[in-house]
This record gives sequence, structure tokens and C-alpha cells, in this order.
Amino acid sequence: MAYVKKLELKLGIPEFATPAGVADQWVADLKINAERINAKRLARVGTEEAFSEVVAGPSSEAFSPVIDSAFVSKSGKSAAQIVTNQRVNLARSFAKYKDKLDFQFETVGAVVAKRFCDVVDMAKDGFSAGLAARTLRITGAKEAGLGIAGIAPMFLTGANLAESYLRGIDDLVAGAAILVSDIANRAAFKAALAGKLVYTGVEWIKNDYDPAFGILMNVELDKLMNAFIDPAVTDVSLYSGATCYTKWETDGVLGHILHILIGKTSA
Amino acid sequence: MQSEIGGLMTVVSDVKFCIPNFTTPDRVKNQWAEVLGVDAARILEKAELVISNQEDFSDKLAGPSSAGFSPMIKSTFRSKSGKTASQIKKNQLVNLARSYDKWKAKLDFQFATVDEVVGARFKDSVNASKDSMAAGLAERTLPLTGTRVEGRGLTALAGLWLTGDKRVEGMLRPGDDIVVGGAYLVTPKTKAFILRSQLAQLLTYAGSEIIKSSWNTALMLTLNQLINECVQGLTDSGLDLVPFVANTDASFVMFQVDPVLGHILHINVKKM
Repeated sequence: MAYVKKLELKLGIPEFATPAGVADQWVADLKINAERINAKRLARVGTEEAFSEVVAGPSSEAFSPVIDSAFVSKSGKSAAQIVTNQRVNLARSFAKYKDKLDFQFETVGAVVAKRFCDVVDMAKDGFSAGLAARTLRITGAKEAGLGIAGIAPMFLTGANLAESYLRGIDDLVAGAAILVSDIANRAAFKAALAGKLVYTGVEWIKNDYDPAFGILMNVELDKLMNAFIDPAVTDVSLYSGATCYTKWETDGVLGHILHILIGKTSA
Repeated sequence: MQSEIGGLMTVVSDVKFCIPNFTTPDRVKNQWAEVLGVDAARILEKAELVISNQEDFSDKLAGPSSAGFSPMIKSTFRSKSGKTASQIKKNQLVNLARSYDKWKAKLDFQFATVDEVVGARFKDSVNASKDSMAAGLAERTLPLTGTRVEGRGLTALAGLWLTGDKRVEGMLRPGDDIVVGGAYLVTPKTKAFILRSQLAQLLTYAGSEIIKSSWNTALMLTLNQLINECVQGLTDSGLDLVPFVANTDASFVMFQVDPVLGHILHINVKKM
């Protein structure tokens, strides 16, 4: 059995400061779109019936399987009673929900959606900090260069310029960019992988790089990789394997990284 | 009048308190908004005193919230995104522990002085919530508590009834029904004020929860048990009363759905 390693790449997760313009743009976009957001909300969840269908029903459905059937609250409520309460409270909350949003989007002193806009202004710093602490560390930013979610898909779809996007914290251990999917699915694979890397990466960061949580996220990555990779090019992706994987891990030298290994074992 | 049951027990007191429909008086909701508005600066001061930094926030909010949240989650549960119960618990803790800055920013925002009005946004929100507060009060609280002006509700009447205060008979409302006897002292006189205050609180809580659940039978049973445990704990053992249990064969204080009167609080005291 001969094994040929075609690519090994370690992509670091950098510290990040949200570029000045990003938070300002977020605030400006939300303010400009306040009326549209409100209209969309009213069109989608403007009636009690729609609220039950779109919000209350799905929320209750998702809530009930979460509760341990043996749980009893301090006030003596059983799991069944807690579930019933949640459903009843939510089903009755349309008026409150509507009043609160109407209040937020109300025109005050000729300013449309004044309170909504004030809240957006207030939330700017928190948004900026959250973005810097999590999302931008995976996505990168126009002003600061591509992040893992941009670079990894380029390497795995064989982009010629992929290597030019590597940063000082990355390490191309072996090989070069390679298309691992069918050519017809290249674009779909690239987009799906970017999305999955943002989701799994952000979740892993949020969980303080917990190794057990990392494994869970790596299983998600395996599922995606195996749905797209061409078996003629590479082995099945297996985060716990030794021949092919795309996984989040903590490296002894580079720290927290996305580790990509592409190789083919043939008889 | 007393009613004998099978020669073994005698009903010495039986009353059914109705739960009337209620509209929150305008003066109540206006007063609520006014008091909150006046107290805005003090509310902020108190919040900042109790939670003045990240450590306080973790100790007093995030930690207790996670401790309450964790045992509720089924250990075998997996979210749609594949998260296990322990990961969900950890996520909740981590997210909450990190949210102090956001919490503080929101608090400052609500209580900021705008156009020389202290706590302008807070006052604004309170005013906007007046109707919703009044609706909730009318639906779940006032039918139980009543008001001083419109008349006391069952949470006060029940305590007076079980501490033998004869004044209660003059406070009954249309819809209340004395079936047997009258107000009856079930507790030592020295504990009467404790019974009244504990029962008032418990009946407000239990009644409100039962109404919220649309008179769910199982919840009603659980809360009726709680009420009877409380009353039984304060009864006078020298009175030879049949112990208070949430069961019609015993002495009881129970929320019930009566075929004639509808939703009621039913008090029945039996003697051996």
C-alpha cells in the first residue's frame, strides 16, 4: 500500500481587531434598512396566527425534548409542567412581542425607528468586540486579508494563487493547492466549506478551544468533506485518521489551527 | 352548622372563594409607571451596587443561572447542530460569563440622561409597558389578590378564614359561597400572622401559575399539595383536625374547577 501525501497545511487563528470601518458600516446598514426590517417583520410575523406558526410553535417543539423528564424545579414544577408553561406563555405573548417591536420601530420626533437606531448605536462596540473575538478570526477582513474560511477553500479547490494568501502564522508543510472535489462541484464545495469553517471555527473559539468540542466540530467537517471529495484524488476524510483530514486542533508550536492533510493510499 | 361524614369526621368549615374577572384600574397602572419613573435613579444605583463588576456578575448572575440551567437539560439530548448536553451547558455558562460588558452597556443605555431627563429610556419603556403590565395583572394577579379599593381577594380572605377572623364574613364577595360553618382557627394564635402571610404569598404564586397554565390538572395537583403542606405545618395539633392534604377526603385548601362556580379556591376543615 503506497501512500502519497499531496498537501499538508496548518492555518493559524490570529488575534484580530475589528477594522474601524466595519462596525460603522454595520450601524449605517441597519439604520438605512430599519423601515425595511420592520416591514419584513410585520409581513412575516404580523398576526397572532403567524406568530404561533413561525415563532411559538417551533420554539416549543424545540424546547420540549431538551428538558430532562425527571427534572423538578425548586418551586415543584415537573418537566411536563415546565414544558406546558413554556408553550402557554409563549402562545400568549404575541401582544407583548408586537408592542415591544412597534415601540422600537416607532417614529419619534420625525426620526423613523428612533429607538431601534439608538439601540444599534449603543450595540456598536459590543458588535465590534464580538466580531474581533470570534468571526473575523476565521473569516479575516477585506482590509486585513483573508482568513481561514477564505484560504482553506482556495487550497482545496486548487486555486493557483492560494499560496500568495498565506500569512505569517500559517505553515505549508508539504505539497500545494489541489482540487479534491469533482470539477463540476468546485464552486459549491468552495462555498459550503467556507460556511462550515466559519460555523465550526466560531463555535470552537466560543467554547474556549475545548478539545472535546473540537472533535464534534471536526465530525461536521468530515461529513462535508466526504460529501464532496473525489475518491480518485484522496482518501476519505477522517479527523482521527492519518491520511486525510481537515480538522481543528491545538498544535504544539502554532497553537490553535486548522490542519489540512490530503493524501491518497493506493494498492 | 357542622356536617358529619360517616360518623368519623365532621366538616366544621367549608367555603368556596371565587376567582372573579378583573380589569386593572387606571390608577394602579399609572401609579406603577409613576413610582418606577420616580425611582429610576435609585434602581440604577442599586443595580450597580449589587453588580458592580465582572466578578459580581459571574457570582450573582452567571453562576446561579448556569447552576439552575444545567440539571434541567436531558443528558442524552443532542441539538440539531450535534451539540451534546454537556456542550450546551458549557456554552450557556461561557456565553453568560462573557456577557457582562453587554449587560452593563444595556443598563447604562437604558438609564442614561437624555435631553436632561434622568433614565429617559427606562421611563419611556415603562410607559410603553403599562398596558401589557395591566393586562397581566388583570389576568393572573388581581383576580387572586384583589385591591384595597375594589376589595380584598382570596389570598387575604383565605388567611383570615383559617385564622378564625370573623371579619372575613363581612368581606365576602358576590360569588363566594359559605357551605358549612364560618371562619375557623386552625393554627395556634401565636402563629396566626405567620399562616396569614405565608398563605397569602403561596396562594398568589400558586394561583398565578395555575391560571398561566390554563388550569392544568397536573400542575394544580402539585401546587395544591404545596399549599396543604404549608398549612399543615402550621396547624395546632391539639385541635384534632384531620390533617391538611390535597385530597377531598381530608382537610384541604385547594384550587379547583367547580361544576357550578367555575374556578375557585376551596377550603374545607374537618375534625376527627
